[in-house]
Amino acid sequence: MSGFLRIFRAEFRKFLTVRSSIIGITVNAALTIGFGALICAVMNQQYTSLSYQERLTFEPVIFSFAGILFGQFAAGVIGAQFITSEFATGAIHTTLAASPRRLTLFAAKAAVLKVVLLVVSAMSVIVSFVVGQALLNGPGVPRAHFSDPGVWRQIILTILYLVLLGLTALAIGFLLRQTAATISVFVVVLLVLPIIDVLLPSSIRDATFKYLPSSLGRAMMSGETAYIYPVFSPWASAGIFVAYVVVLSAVSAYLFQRRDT
Amino acid sequence: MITVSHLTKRFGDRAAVSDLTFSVNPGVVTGFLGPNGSGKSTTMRVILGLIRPTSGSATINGRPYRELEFPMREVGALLDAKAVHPGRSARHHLKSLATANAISAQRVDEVLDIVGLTDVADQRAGKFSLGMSQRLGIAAAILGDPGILMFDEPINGLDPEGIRWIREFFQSLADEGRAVLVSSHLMSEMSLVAERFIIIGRGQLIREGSRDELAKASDQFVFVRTPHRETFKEIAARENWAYREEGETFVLEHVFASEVGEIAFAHQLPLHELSTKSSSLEDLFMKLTADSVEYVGKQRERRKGANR
Repeated sequence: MSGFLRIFRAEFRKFLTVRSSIIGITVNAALTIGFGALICAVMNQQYTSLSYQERLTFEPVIFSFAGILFGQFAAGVIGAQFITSEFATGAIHTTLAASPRRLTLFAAKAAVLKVVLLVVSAMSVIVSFVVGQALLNGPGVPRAHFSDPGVWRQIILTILYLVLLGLTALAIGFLLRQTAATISVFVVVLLVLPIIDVLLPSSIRDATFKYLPSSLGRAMMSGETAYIYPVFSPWASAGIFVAYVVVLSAVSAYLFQRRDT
Repeated sequence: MITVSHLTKRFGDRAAVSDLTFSVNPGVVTGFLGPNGSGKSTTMRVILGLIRPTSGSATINGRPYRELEFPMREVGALLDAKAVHPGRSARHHLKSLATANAISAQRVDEVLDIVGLTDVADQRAGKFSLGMSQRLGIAAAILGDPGILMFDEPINGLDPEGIRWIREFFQSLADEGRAVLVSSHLMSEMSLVAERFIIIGRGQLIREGSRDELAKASDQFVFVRTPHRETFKEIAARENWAYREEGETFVLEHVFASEVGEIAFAHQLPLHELSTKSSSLEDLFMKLTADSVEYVGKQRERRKGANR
């Protein structure tokens, strides 16, 4: 068995045998599905009182994905915790004594996280969609179907968005080594940067807003090219986010290899 | 075999280890001694590849630790008993280590049995006492049946029963032909455990040798009592013996008791006592490391203050 596969299996076992990751996954799924369902139920009930303009921009898929707002932070916490908990407890020394090849360990942890978030996100996103659309059942309320154009693209890119967020948090965690610091940076990037960006002069704002991870995510989820301010197309956004994660992971893995532990 | 060669590790402008060279050979328990802060843990971390040396090297059977394919089958180490994820059970902890090093699941059960943790193997490691954590650490160290074992301050915090168990355990590992490196800041702990000693202070090698070699290097004192004190002083002056008087007793250094006895006999000098006392390994250790102990000044000052 190759070195990578051994370390991958060891890390997979480690992920599944800690209670906090199982709780994290469950909470993630519950919030994502539950909050999407709530928003869809409210929208369904309030549809008749919506303005003409609101009805025109009614996006049934996005409403069922409302829970992703929680899910994205859950994905970040799962990714961060996967490495920062080892630094916090000192267990990283035991891990590195067993798997001393840093790059292999980094790649194995990233792969475990990819598999876990892919499975969990696929499940919660698809269930969110099915439950949400089922709740949009009032007379005249628009609802989406799997067969609608672009729906599968929205589902797949939303799943990808969550996986990429988890990998981002993992890479930040390898760099900063502390849970609180890692999650703070993650929240700043996702929540605070867009707020600051909006305060900038419109010329700068319109040029930069579309590069923010939150904007990329929104574009990946919705498929709309104009979300408050201009954003990239869904696939271009996905490509940019993948590039971010690749570069960040490369820097993080390189420094993990170089630094003392 | 562990080979440390001209190892230097600097943190900022402070050298934790400087130009340290030694090797740890199979079949014996080697004591790695030095006062707190002398660089023992840093050295062990370099050996495990956790810290990169500033210069020099540390190798395991000729290879750096980071390049080992199955490190736990070559080196077993217990540096920090609490370096375990508290949320994971002992069994899962060991199984994940076993998976990473292609060690069978059956071996996990075996080592749990050896250290006596079988009954609590499915409890979360965070709930373990220090003693149980230490045993879990030992289980991890021997998991891969390695030829080299390293333990950092393993005796710290053990009860007398545990100390005896661990001493016999180290000896049995060495008897099986393994290289065993055990660090401590107390010579009294190690003098019964180790056969060879590596003594460091301020990151530098002070003395390396077997127990016998060190015993020879430690000072011998000859105690003499005689009713004819003035005659003895004349003889001592003639023979160039360095001595001091402790009450009735002359204490001589750098001379053998046999020599003193024969010369006294030649002068028909009656002796009421002729005995030797060698300083213990611990005395030697204190003497060797006296200059390298950090923070000692403050402690002395505090003691002085307390006496007043």
